[in-house]
Amino acid sequence: MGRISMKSFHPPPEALPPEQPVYVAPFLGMPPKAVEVALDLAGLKPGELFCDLGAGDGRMLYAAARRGALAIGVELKAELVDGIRKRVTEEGLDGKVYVTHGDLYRFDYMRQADVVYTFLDDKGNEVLKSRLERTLSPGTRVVTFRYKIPGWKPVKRVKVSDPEGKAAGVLLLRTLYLYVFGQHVPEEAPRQALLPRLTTMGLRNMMIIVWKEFLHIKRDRRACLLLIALPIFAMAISNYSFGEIKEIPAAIVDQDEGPVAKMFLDVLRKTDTFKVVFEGGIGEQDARGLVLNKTVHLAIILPSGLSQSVDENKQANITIYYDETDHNFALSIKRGLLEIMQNATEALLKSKLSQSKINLQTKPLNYIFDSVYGYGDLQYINFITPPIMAFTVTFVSIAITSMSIVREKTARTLERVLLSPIRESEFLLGKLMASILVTIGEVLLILATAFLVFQMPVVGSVLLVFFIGFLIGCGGLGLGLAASAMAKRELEAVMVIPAYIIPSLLLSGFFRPIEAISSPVMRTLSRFVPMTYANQALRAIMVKGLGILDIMPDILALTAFAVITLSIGILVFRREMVAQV
Amino acid sequence: MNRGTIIEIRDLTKAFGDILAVNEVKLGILEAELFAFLGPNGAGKTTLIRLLTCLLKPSSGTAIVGGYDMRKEPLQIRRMVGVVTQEPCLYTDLTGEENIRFFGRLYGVGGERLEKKSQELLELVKLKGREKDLVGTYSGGMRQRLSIACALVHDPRIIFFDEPTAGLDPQTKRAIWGFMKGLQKRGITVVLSTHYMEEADALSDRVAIMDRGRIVAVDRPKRLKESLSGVEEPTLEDVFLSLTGREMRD
Repeated sequence: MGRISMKSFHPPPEALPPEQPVYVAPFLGMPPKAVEVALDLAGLKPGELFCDLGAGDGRMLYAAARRGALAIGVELKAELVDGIRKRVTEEGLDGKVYVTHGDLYRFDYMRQADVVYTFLDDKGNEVLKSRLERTLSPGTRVVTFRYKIPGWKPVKRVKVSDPEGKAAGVLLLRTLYLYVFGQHVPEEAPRQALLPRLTTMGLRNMMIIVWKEFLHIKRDRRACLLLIALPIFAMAISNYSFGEIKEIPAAIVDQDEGPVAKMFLDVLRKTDTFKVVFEGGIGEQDARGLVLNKTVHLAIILPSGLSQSVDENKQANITIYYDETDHNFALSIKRGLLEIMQNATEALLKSKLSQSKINLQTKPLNYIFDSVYGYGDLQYINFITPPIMAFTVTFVSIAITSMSIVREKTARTLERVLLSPIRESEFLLGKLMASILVTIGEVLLILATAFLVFQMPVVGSVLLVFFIGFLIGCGGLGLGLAASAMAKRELEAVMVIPAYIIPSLLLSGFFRPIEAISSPVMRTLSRFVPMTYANQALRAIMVKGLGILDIMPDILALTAFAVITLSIGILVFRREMVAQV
Repeated sequence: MNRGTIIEIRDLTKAFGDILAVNEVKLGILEAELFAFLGPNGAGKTTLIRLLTCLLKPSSGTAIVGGYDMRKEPLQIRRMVGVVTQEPCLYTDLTGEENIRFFGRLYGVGGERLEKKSQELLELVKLKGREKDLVGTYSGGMRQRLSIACALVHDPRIIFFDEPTAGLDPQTKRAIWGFMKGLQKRGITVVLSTHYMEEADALSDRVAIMDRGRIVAVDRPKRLKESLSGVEEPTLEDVFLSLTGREMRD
């Protein structure tokens, strides 16, 4: 028995004017044999409601009515509708067949139908599909001729021969498809799939999430500021704090006032290592006091009788007061003074030799420094900039991912998102994609600041630096994901940053190469710190100019770290967040 | 007029450890019906809704929602149902309009249709003029209204309301009742979970009274009240108490 009783049946409207007439398919008559096969396939029983979408000349309707069903149809062509109505009366099928003149997409009566029949082309079926999905009740049988409903799974198909083929002398087979609404969709892969199938749908869903994440970042002024300021700030610090020390304030006590002292001071003024801030008018003890109270970093005492001693070929001592506790300054002071001493000695020798008329153009001994890597004159800044880059990227990638996950947690929006037809993996990958884009932006900003603004030296490939930066960022992403998915509160998620960064700072060879770490235990431990490999790789490219093959072990270590943290992050996200929804 | 069954629940069970939050529930909900689940706290109403909206997987049994088996085609079901959660669950740092757009896009609504739909919904839930404000600045009632708009953006066939009026002022409550009635008039099936007797009584065509994960009675509110003998002018609350007992729940 059908869903509708004849008594309570309200006939469909005579006409359903279309908003804009859409021809979905031309009228092609079905072979008479196919009509009966279609009804058999549908298993149409007396008393059921049969609905023909695009009734044509009504041949399906009459056949259905003859089987005792109530047949309703919709047809867009007025002359076909008139034809059906005429024939219904002629054949005495009044009250058993109804036809509506109008647009089949607006025909609501299929809602109650037991059997829906249609003969449209692929395009027509595609449009009809969403209409059917929104309207039909479970159990409704749907039969289509020749064309399938895209994406639906027929429960049965039957082939019938088409007389059209016979006329042409070939056997032409056409297919009838039967669908049962409710069983019409192929089983989907379980939602748990770790990676979404990369369908256009999946990508589209991910892009929606990316769009939303950028809206959040745009709204969060402080985050924006941090993202822009941090890399610039870090590179500026690196440039100004760890660059070559210049213009060290110095005090001069000239007790000699002779030609040698004058020569020495001339040489000193020509270099930019020192800047004389006190000269004359102070004694040796005053100058020492100035160093003690840090007004100057060094005091140079040129003793009386200096010129005379030099003249008499006796050794003359110049006393230097300085602060050894400031290691960096002490090194620069000693290096600067040595250079001055060498230059002053050279000048002195020249003047002496010119008096004795012996011409000596060359120094008897000289060093030629030739670094085995790209360039010589390695300074601390070259050593310290790569790890600063690595740490900035790590910090940003952890922070941006944590913020994005914790936001869903506190607003409890994850539940709402998971209620929509988006896969959990698409949601998560969308979020990670947004974080990756931000991280890439950060790496580019760091590189631009370092190499364009501050003109920091880089010997190797900038592209490779970018790639390493990207890998470091992926590791941070995974770490941020795992930490924030586990965290109950925002603060807990943020705590992972110091917890990760401080040991990394100490053990990754940030300040001095790991070979120089004295304890063998600590040296071994540093092998397990991912930042060690980040620093090594970046230094190798930027300072030594090495290529991708030379840093392969580092790349592998960084990739492994990223894969491990991301996998753990995804697992934790699903266990702690999706399961808790 | 006869209506088809749009939700058919077949022996649906959900266990959390030893606790059977939903215990072999069998039920049919008709198309365009306004159906209410009524029950004390912990009766399993929210779990049942979460199962029917495919947020949770059943321990056993299944349900056919709009022609799709929840065990096999959860995404298809999600496409045709809308859910108004108990708490609004919106992005407070986005504007009202952005929230509607985001959820619309998740359901595949886009372009002009989304634009038209979001304007129409803002009008419907009376948030026109505030759509460009951040949701963080909205009151509780406004958020709940926006939440309804977000649940309707994809024209669902079935819409679930999980305790939609809890903690709202009487004006907002009445407005939300009005929305539910209006949706039903448009042919949408409305499934409501509530512990407010008067809400179930005033709105629903049929009520299922739930207790400890089971459905203890299903009928029209009027018939349920009539079934209670020995009480003068029985209210739904009397029915409820007689079926679920007077013991307090956790």
